[in-house]
Amino acid sequence: MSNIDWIVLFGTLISIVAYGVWKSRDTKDMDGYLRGGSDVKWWAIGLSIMATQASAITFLSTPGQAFNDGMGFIQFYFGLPIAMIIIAVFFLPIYYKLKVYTAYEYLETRFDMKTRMLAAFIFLIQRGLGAGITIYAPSIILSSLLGWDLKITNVLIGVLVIIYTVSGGTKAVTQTQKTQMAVMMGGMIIAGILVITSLPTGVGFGDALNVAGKMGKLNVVDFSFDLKNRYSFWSGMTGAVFLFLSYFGTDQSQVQRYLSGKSLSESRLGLMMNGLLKVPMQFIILFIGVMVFVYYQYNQPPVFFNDTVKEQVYSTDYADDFRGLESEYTSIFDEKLDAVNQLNAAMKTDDPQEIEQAQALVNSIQAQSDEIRNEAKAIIEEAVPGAEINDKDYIFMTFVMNVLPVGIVGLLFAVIFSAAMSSTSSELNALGGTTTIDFYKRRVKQDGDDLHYLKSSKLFTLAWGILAIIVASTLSLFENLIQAVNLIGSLFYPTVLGIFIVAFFFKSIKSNAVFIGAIMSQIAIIVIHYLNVEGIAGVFTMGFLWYNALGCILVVLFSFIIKGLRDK
Amino acid sequence: MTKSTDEVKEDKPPFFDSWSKMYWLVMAVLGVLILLFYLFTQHYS
Repeated sequence: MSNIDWIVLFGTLISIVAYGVWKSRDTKDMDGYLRGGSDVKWWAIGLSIMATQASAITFLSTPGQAFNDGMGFIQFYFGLPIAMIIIAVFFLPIYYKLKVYTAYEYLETRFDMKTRMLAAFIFLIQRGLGAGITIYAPSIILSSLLGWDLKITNVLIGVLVIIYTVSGGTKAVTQTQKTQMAVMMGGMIIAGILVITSLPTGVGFGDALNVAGKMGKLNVVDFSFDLKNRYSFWSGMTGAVFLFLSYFGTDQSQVQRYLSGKSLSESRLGLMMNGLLKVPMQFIILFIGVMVFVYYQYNQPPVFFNDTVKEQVYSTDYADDFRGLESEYTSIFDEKLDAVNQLNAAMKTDDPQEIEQAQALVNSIQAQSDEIRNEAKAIIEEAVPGAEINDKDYIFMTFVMNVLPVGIVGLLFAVIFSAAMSSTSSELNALGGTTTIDFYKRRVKQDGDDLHYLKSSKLFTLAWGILAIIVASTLSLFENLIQAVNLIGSLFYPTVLGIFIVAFFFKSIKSNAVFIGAIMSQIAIIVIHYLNVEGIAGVFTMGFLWYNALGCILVVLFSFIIKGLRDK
Repeated sequence: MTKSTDEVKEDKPPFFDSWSKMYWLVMAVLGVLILLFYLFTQHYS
């Protein structure tokens, strides 16, 4: 990167941190620290909710996902507006009525303390590990791209977040997220415009769309029903609704965002804003990935996008084999370029037969090209055991570094760092708050004054921040832990949502029935995962997304059965 | 946690006279987006 890029990157990051600390300098009590003084406007709540969900991986992985598999991933977000409405109608008024700091406080009012503790404990474990991943996942990519030591990148992101989150709490998080969202969306829109203007002379936007469409990258909606299909209209409208309900309705890192609202109406509007803007936002990010794909139909792409891993392969006995594949990939690119130009010419003739022939030729060469990429990945796997062979997270930033102009590169790196910081800050803020309210204040020290709990919240937030950095720095030693933590989320979130669903909608069910029902459902989900092909035994195949609906339904079902048995 | 005996004040949303209309707007926008995505898919594939 050039000096100007470094100045843009660090100038942006330091400004955001300084702005957060300065804007929250008057935070002197618990309400200000955990609920942002309860005076946040709806648009700031909406931005805060969106910034919390948009982690660095959103901006690194999503364009790569579109590059590889097209735009079908957007269907995952179809359930989000529905979940926003359900939360606004059923969850939010109760949280407001009880004036809770955390979602789990409500469970004690509705059931008992053990149910509250169970839900809060699951949150702390899941989110505590999650905060480490939120730092680690972009760090490993950014350190590779920037040539930095992984631990330094972890510490840099962690420390920047800790500075403003510990000092200003929710207010600092909300204020910084406004600027972070501006950087993220501004940066991505500029990148989108530049991708399109980077296409060769004579290739217009319409041509780019035609090429992407004929190569299967613009298949946005799939109405076919298949449990094995991870992203379809049906999984988006069912499984994803449950996932978003549990994430936005019961995960304190999101609940804390909308509980900072000036009023119930402001919080509701914030949720509606997210419901209206999230799908178009994801569409834009995916679309940029598709345009990067089109760019690489006219410009030679690398056979593998992660340069650090490639360098490791060059120093092994497999270097010649790998270089051989690279030459093959270059030759086939020239062939494909001719075919793509033929396809564009055919599209202008409007002759269906000619278009079909040109499309078949392009896709057949693309299949050969993909095969070479797969062979390269197989070589990497053998040459560098344990290396990450999925390079989709590197595609977008490789394009940025190689193609975009000076200054914009720094801005796009600022986008990734901002995204990492915005989601991590919400997580630390919620972890500190939940530890203080649900455990320390409830079980350890009930007679402290406001100042005491304010100081405790700051200390717990600091402790979770340090723990997140330690987890992030340790993860490199346990690669599979990322998968394990993602799995823990899919396995445990449905149970927490199930408890909340029973609490809101089935008033006849009391504490012991839901507690036992939740534990039974949890065991059932673990058994189902064991039998699933994605688990261990492989008896049947089911995407993880369906666990969210199934686990939640099982909690309700078991709770009713236990209640029936107890009534007898 | 402070228990409140008062009902939470429910203001009307901007542009509409009830929240249900606001929710219908969100659902309608989602429906329109899905329709546009469907047409987009059909046109370019």
